[in-house]
Amino acid sequence: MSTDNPSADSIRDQAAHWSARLNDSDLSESERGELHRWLLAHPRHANEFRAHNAILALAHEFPSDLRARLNAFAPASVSEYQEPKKRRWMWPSALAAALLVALVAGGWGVFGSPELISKSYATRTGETRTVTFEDGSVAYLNTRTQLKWIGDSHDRRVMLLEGEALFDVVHDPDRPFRVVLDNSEIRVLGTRFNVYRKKDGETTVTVLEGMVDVHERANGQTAWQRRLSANQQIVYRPLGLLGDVHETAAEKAIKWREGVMEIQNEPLPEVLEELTRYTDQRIVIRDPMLNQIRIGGVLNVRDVRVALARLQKLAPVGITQSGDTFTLAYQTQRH
Amino acid sequence: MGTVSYAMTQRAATEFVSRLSRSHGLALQRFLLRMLGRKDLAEDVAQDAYLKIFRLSRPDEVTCPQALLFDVATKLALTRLRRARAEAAVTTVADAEVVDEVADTAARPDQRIAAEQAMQQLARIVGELKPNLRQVFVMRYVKQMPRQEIAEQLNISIGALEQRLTRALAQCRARMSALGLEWLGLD
Repeated sequence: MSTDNPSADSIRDQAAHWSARLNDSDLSESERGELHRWLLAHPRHANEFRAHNAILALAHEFPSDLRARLNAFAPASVSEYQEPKKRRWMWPSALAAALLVALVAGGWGVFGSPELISKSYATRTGETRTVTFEDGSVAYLNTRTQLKWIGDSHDRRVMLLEGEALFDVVHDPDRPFRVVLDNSEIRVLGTRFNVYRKKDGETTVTVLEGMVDVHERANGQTAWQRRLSANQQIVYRPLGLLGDVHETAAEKAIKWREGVMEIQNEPLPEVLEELTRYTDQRIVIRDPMLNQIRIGGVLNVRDVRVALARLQKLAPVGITQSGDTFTLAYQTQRH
Repeated sequence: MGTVSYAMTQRAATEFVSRLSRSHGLALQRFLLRMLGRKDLAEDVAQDAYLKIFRLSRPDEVTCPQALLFDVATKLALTRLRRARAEAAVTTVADAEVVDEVADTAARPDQRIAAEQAMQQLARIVGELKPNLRQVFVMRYVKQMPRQEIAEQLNISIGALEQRLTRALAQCRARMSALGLEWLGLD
């Protein structure tokens, strides 16, 4: 079968084993020793090891057209975001349909490269995730976030369907990068900015570096447009309810990346609403007077239990847990 | 063409390398730590690798920066291992083998094409693998799905999955090699 000598095959198999092994998880000390001995035993071993690693790296970097062709050979990942049954947008579903047609129609070999690649990403409650798009731009996804990348040779679009993400955008004047939310859009060149879309549609855009244009469309026309530069923030809602562009300490907007939430004199209900983004457990306020309380401090959002324990020290609340529900009651602070 | 200067501005090169380290730095660090088993060594090698790439005349022209970065780093790591062995053995290992093997070559003008061809060929080869191997290769190395998830979806054990992945990888390499497509790192 092979024209090489027999040992070539076995070296190749060993190299494949080590490359795959190293790609999967950490090695034990004895395994590492074995790898080192094997690598140094013969120059051919080291070369094969490099060649196999290169294949893994190349596969990871396949451009969108190759990726799309090959993805057709594998079942969809369950961790990839599933298309909602009820589609809220007309144009993206048309694009998705076009892509699907392209994938179904094109078998291997007769397949022309599709114009665009679309990929969905999601995080579960309490999860964060780093995603590198095919252009090299990076999105850091906070808890309960869904977004979809749609890119082709002259356009880059991210649909933020839910949640919050920090974007690190690679500068490419030929391919504008846009974050699309229902009717509004954030257009950027190379920059770093955070977008948080609440369930009720309220959206906060914070720019850490560079500059972005935010605009909303209504009846096919631009309803409003604002330009934000570093350390500026805007909060807006659908239907043109628009706050002013204001200065902000932008780094605070991405404290979530460190797993903490910084609160400055904010109403307790809002703090709790933020906290529930990170847990599937319920947090209930029993005493209405707690709605009036404002608090400040830093809460760990990776562990709601820890956060609530801390909250007891920051505010006059007592917390009880039953099943999946935490109940907050008013309680004067002990000394 | 021949008279065109390929020199990139220092700033652009810095930007390219810092972007590379931002997007692939963690993965590289993890890879080197697994390979070498020592954090300080892994960091040193990663820094050296960035420096090598920084010195390319047009690093931004490289079409597969991650592959290049990992290969350069692997090669530097191998050099360290050889040096460590030579020092431990206190024997006279031929010096030529011990010196830093990654030459400071500029990215060859043909490198971009070569990388693109290699990718095209690899994709074709993957497409021609037997279906059970092709499937796991795509799921694991193209889609980057976790092993557990793949094993569950295909209803096979992790061990069986690992075997298939190793076989798929070895077959890809054998065919690349048969086509004369040796890895195109900075030799």
